[in-house]
Amino acid sequence: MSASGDAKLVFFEFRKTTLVKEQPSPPPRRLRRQRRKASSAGLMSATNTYREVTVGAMALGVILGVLMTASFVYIGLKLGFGLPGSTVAAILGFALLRGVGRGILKRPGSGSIVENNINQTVASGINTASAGIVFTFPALLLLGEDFNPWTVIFAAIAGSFMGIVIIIPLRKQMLEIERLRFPTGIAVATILKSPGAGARKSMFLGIGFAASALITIATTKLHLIPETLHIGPAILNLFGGSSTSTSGIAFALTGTMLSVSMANFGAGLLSGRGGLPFLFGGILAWWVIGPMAVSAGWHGAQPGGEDLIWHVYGTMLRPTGIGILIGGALAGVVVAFPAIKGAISSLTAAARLAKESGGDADELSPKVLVIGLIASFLLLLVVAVYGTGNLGQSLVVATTGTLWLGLAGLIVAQATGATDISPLSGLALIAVTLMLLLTGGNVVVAVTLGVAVCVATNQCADMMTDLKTGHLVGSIPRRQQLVQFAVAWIGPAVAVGTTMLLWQAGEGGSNGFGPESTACVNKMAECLPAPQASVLQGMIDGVLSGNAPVDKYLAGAAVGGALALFPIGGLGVLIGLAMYLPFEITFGYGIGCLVSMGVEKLKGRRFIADVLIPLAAGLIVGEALTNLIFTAVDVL
Amino acid sequence: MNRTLGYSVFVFGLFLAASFASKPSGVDESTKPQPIERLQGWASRASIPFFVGLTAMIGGALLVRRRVAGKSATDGDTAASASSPDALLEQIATALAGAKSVGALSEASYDKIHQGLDQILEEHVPAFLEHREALIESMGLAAFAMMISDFATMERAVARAWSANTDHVWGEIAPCLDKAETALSAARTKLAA
Repeated sequence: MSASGDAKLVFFEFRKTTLVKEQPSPPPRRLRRQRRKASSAGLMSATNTYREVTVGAMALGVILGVLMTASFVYIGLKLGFGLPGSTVAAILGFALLRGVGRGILKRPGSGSIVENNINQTVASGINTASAGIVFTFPALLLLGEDFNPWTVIFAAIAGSFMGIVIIIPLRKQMLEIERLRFPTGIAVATILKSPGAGARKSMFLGIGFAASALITIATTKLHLIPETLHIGPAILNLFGGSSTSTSGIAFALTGTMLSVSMANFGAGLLSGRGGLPFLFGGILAWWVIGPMAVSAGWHGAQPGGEDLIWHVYGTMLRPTGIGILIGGALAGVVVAFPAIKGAISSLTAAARLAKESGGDADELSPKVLVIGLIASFLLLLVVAVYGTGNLGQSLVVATTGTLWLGLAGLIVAQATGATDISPLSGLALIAVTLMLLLTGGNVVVAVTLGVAVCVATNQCADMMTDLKTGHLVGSIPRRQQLVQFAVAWIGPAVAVGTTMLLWQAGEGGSNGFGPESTACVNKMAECLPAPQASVLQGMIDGVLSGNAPVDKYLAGAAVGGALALFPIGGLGVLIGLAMYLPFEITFGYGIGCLVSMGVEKLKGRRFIADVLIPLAAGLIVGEALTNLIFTAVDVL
Repeated sequence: MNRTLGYSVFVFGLFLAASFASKPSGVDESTKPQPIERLQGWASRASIPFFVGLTAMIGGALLVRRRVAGKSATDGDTAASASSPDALLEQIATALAGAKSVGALSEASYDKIHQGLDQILEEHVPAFLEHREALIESMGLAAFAMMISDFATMERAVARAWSANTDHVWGEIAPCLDKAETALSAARTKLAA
């Protein structure tokens, strides 16, 4: 098969990977009919015998993706957080493609491991837009701005495609050279591989799942166990201290809390030693810098207690953490440039080799990526021109937005790869701030481009996570990249449409969500407070009145740059992320890292593979699925 | 000694720089200060200790890097040990050859293939990756990137063979093992260079 098709539009590429491998001259009609039949039965020609990109996998992935997108938009507006779609799609794909396909429909080869991987790639590729939209777009409605919803949809679609094309060239860097863990990617791969994992591994997967589900029910539903353990305050009380004291020790102990999240703990278990810098960053922020700042009186007249914790966190630690994240990621790119250059060279070499040998490349050709990037940029430019009415200003805005989108995507992918945690909100804030400055305070254009950035950064993290899963199960990266490309436009359309529907469901066709909506004011069950968008709305008001902590961002960026010089990869991103997050999240993850290291020292590497990894995967999946089920029950 | 000193200086510098980066700018918020005013306010209160800390971070990092590079130069003498990168790639090659020698692929060969590929993916690959940092230092980042790319291709091909074996798609296994062998050979050549 000639790779000259690499220069054609993506859907031609997609067609080639779903059909039986083509011969140099067209075979007789009878033979083509036989091949199609053999193809659907999974018994294709000798060089392409494995069911991977099939109509069933694509259709199921699209259906699950659309359902999850609409549901997660609702959940995001209600609760303020999203849920991972990959694990849900992998489990449902396992049940439907393999269980129903093989067991009931008797289709041999149905629901293969790599086919199910395509299903979950498609579903999560569509669903990933929901988090990006829910954080940004509702702010536009809450602010009462006049705008055209189609510009938001097109901006989100542009961001969705851009996220994919920007991160694909970094696949080798992140997965092969840096060997980022992507804990959810490992968890999904563990599920996909469970048919061949043996009874013992499946047992530990089940034990992890059950334990996590029970603990999640005990904390969030039955409230038998608190969701957050106040370990530090308990120690403080034990020694007769007071949490309202403004001493450094009181601050350190009051801030020492532990989130009872099995998914968080499981992510730490999977990361092991590589996650230690993240714990170190949390300790630095909450046990060293914070107490020192309070002891030195930097907090001003703020009284002690939890208010002091949030004051120090919100005005000092978090903005500095964002700066360190940005500086660390930028400097990390510079330091790793030889490796990135080598990775892109091998990408180009592989495409050339495939063209010469008439075979398929494992990666999408750089030409396709460049075309995708240019097309997405032009779409973003059109949206900017529509909003500003000025081509010159729009060029600056679209170019800056694209550059920031690339950097933010890199940061989120690296952070997710190391810890499974994404600093999306902080980076979205920076994007909106930048756009507000460049457009002279044009909120509509700023938030619209913020939508593009958010969707793109989520898409970056999702694509990398899916490619990690694919690497572990043996999928061909090019096929995953193509199917994600093919469906990238669906999620934004569904997410924006769902948000508009929910907004128009309010009285008089508006105000369907937000703290000022009728349902929320009257404290009704249908209240959708849109917490993330409300935070962004508040931040926009703050930026417009000059409240952005630029000094923290810049100083933090310098620290992040210096961190990149240390010979531990991604150190700036990990420490910045730890300062950006509340300690209860970092602490739980860090405990997981320490447990993993201890177990490996005592029991060895094989034990990690046979017991710890399936157990940790079960913990992650158990919490995600349990939360999803109960949320769906509440909503219905 | 250099390594401990480097770590200590770096951590001290990080504490100092990060702490003073977080220090409030001291401007009166009621006057709605501009970003440049915030920057100036912060600089007047925190810039000196901040830059001292930053300098210590850079110095400490360079000390540690010099120590790591020196250690890698002497590590070359251990290339022949059983757990050296070369030896591990040899073990993978042996395991691959063992899997390929099974003969006709069917239900009967399932267990042998499964065990052989499991051993590569769960033992040999993680053991090889333990040498990642040392290999980067000794080979240089660009050369390491080219080598590990071939290694990862081998890894993915073996994973695909494992999945195909689990799914009982016998026709897929042999081409994957061939691809893995070719990629492994390329990786060994680059490692030797």
